[in-house]
Amino acid sequence: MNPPILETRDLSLSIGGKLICQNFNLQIQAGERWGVLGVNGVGKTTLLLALAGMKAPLSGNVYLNGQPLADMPRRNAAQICGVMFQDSDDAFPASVLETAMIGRHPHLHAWEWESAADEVIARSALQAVGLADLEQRATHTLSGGERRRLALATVLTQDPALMLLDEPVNHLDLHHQIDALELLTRQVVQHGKTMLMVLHDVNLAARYCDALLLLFGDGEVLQGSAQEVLTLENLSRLYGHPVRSVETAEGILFYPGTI
Amino acid sequence: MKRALIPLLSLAALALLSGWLALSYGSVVTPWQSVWQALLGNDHGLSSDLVLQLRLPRAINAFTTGALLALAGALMQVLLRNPLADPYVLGISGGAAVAALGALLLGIGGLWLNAAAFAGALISMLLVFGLARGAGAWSSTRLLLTGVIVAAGWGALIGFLLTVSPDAQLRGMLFWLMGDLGGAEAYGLGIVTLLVGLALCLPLARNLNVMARGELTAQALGVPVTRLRWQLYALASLLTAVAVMTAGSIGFIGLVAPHVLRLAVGNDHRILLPGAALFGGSLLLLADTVARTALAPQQLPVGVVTALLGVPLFLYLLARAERR
Repeated sequence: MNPPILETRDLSLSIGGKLICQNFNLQIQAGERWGVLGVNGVGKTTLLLALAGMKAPLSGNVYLNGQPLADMPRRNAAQICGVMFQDSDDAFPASVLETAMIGRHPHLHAWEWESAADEVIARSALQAVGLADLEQRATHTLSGGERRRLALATVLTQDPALMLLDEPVNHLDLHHQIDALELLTRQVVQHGKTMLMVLHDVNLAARYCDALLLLFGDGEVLQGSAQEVLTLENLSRLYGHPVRSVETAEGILFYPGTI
Repeated sequence: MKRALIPLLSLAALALLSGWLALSYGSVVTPWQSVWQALLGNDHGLSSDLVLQLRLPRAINAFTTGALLALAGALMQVLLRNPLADPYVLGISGGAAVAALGALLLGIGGLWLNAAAFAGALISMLLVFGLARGAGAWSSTRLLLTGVIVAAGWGALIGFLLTVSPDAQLRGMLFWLMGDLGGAEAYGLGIVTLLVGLALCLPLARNLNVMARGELTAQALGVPVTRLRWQLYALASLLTAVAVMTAGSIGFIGLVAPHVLRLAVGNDHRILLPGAALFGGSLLLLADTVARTALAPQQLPVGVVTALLGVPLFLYLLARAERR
């Protein structure tokens, strides 16, 4: 059997002296969709960075396809694992197409220029997120939601087997949220990709994730299938606020209760 | 690859044109036929001496200095993720100036003056490097702040040295501070540094494109960010040190040349880096030709000309960028 695409062994991680997880063991198999839930500042982004090999843990190791990530050259890691960050920060003006093309970087050698094939990949990614018409626009003229979709297109252009996504649907309006998550799901189902995403919306997590990580703070992490861990008791404790649910024709909906 | 060709060929043509102007114009105008014959070695008269012994070395110095500064500026702008960074922002020219003024005060001249300037630049570079590294946490902001503060310290020392210097030395010191291409004979080092610098930074060019998108993004896309930052710092500093050593501190080339190109050809560093070298070299060569001819036989410090050309050009670009 293949090794898990992403694995942690005895991972301990902290930020600002606060423990995020302790001796944490995680195995993510190819083709799975994972979600990460937790309150602001609990360390979701830091965990994502550690899983991408971009933040050194206190102890323990992260393995990508069975290889220790810490020993892997960054370029090789970037061919397998792509990260979408919460916000982008361009030092110089760039066009939308140029920005998406940046995703091809780990696949090119030092002297190599992007080929026509690379351009096709970037254009189809822009098409997939609905930015095809804006490819010549300067990125700083885009709206917040368009920028998120561009970041998603850049990850799709990178075309990694494993996508780590930090709030991929933040700033997106309703139909773009669903479009983006459906697009990611197609990547998983049709192209065998794997993803782990930080989400704030419990209902979207319930609908689009097979498995979840709940970060409670103080090093406590709960993991399991979405049905298993999404209980009113867990969610109320996770968010420090009573969570209620209602049965609908399309499944259970969670909502914040009144105190 | 193909889209690099037109901008780079145009810039190479501009460089050749500037070279021809620099060799032809001065207190005496030399017709292009005589310049050509002198370059071919067919002419051994007075005008050949003028072209080969006076104008050519100076033209080569001006071009390499401008190219070094523009290249260093382009690298600094990515390193500090700040489009307003120039090669001097981290205090390298300040360290060189203090050492050079100190040498002038002691009556040292010629090659030793250059050596002192180079040593001052290196000391400043190591000082900023050591202080910015300090606690281990490293960021562009920290490097920028450390560099700016060290530069301010050098500025105070320059003021002090100028105050205590006897009148006889002041004129030479002011010329050095404003940039002077007249005194430099040895141009081999500049050419070698420029070629080595280009050879070292061109393979990094696409990494720089990614680095401009933010350090986290760059890291996630496989760029070894920490190593690249130190490479950029060392490279930009050394290029600047050689430029300052050759010609004193010459303002605006390192800021304006990369900037004009960013506006004209975009921010792809595979085109921008060689382009900035060609454009910066051409600009300084043209400025130096103006400095030699405008008030001939009186020569202006070239730094005055680059600043007089650079200030309005930069303000224009800034206003244009804000309107966009």
